[in-house]
Amino acid sequence: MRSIIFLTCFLLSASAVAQVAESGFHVTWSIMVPTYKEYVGNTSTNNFRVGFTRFLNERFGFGIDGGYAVLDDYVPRQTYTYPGGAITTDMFNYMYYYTLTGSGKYFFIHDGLVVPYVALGAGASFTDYTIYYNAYTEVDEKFGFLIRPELGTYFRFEKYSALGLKASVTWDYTTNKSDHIDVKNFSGLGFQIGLVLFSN
Amino acid sequence: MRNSFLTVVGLLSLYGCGLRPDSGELARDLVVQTQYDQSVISSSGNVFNTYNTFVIREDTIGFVSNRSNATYLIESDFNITGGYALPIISLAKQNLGVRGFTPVAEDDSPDFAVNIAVLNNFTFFQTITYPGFYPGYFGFYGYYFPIVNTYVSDYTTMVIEIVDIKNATGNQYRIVWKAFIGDLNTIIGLREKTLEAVDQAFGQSPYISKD
Repeated sequence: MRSIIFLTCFLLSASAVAQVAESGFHVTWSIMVPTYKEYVGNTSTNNFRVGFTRFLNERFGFGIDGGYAVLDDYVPRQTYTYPGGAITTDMFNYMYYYTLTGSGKYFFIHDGLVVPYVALGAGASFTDYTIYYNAYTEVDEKFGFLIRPELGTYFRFEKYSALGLKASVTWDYTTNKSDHIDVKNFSGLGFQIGLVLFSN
Repeated sequence: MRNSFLTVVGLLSLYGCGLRPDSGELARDLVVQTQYDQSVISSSGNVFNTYNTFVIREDTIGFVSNRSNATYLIESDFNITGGYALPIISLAKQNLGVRGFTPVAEDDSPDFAVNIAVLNNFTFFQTITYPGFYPGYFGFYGYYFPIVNTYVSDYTTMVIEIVDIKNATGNQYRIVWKAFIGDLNTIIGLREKTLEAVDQAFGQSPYISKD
């Protein structure tokens, strides 16, 4: 309890000092590199995220972030045997990955054009695993818990400018394993770059 | 500014939602699935080792469709350069011949029958209900089909079945092997790919052997 009171007092006292902005909306394009590659191993560029950050004071903020990513891989034609039979096909493994996270942010510098920060996000993921083979599809859908540490920076073109840039590196780990298609929890690195609309 | 921002978000959403494999890439090869009866083919015994002869319809392929009343197809129904039905039947016979089995006439008491049929507008992967036996199967090999739950979909599948005649119980005949080849609707190069798939069906079923 004492630590909570201390943290609250700290946050409130800091709020009197100049902060980056009141808030900021961002939309980022993302490159995603799976670190768990059993189902989808290719680097994906079909990803984007949108979010909102509320700057509490010069050091702290919180945000909410929604993301959509499509990862895929091609498995060349081969024969899979199982008790009582076999199947021969090539496959296109697709992973449609939706995320919604809340995050706490810490800003290392707050009064320049460059505002680096570190953040820790947590939330939910929804994964649509779809295997395409010829005219057929095999689908499994999973909800999972998501944790997402992030290192990034904002860049404002000039002081108090409404428009800025955002770049960050994230790492996702989510509990979306599927027994049906025999994959474990997904993890992957994300490299984001995008636009930020600040509200002063 | 804010409107532009939302426009960017909207465009990205539309772009991302349409992503899936190119249909041309999906149609490169047919899916070949085979299943065998584990009660008669296992490490403790293989019913194929007890067979010598088989019978197969030489001129027709069975046909089940919820778009047509036809029950079989002949070569002229396909209108494919180089033929379709006859080369498939011939290739199935050839594969069985290589495995040591001899084709015989219907009256020569074959050990097993080979049915080849096309199922149109039926779906089968994961949804087929296959009885262990054909009830009421008698005599020859009219075309007898699995009980397929008619989840309507636009698939066309070739099914090859091996039916045990030698060990029939009364009028019940066990299906000891079946192959599903699909989807014939979307494939590019139907004739060549089907023939390749027939070979693949036997190739991935090494237990179909007299020895």
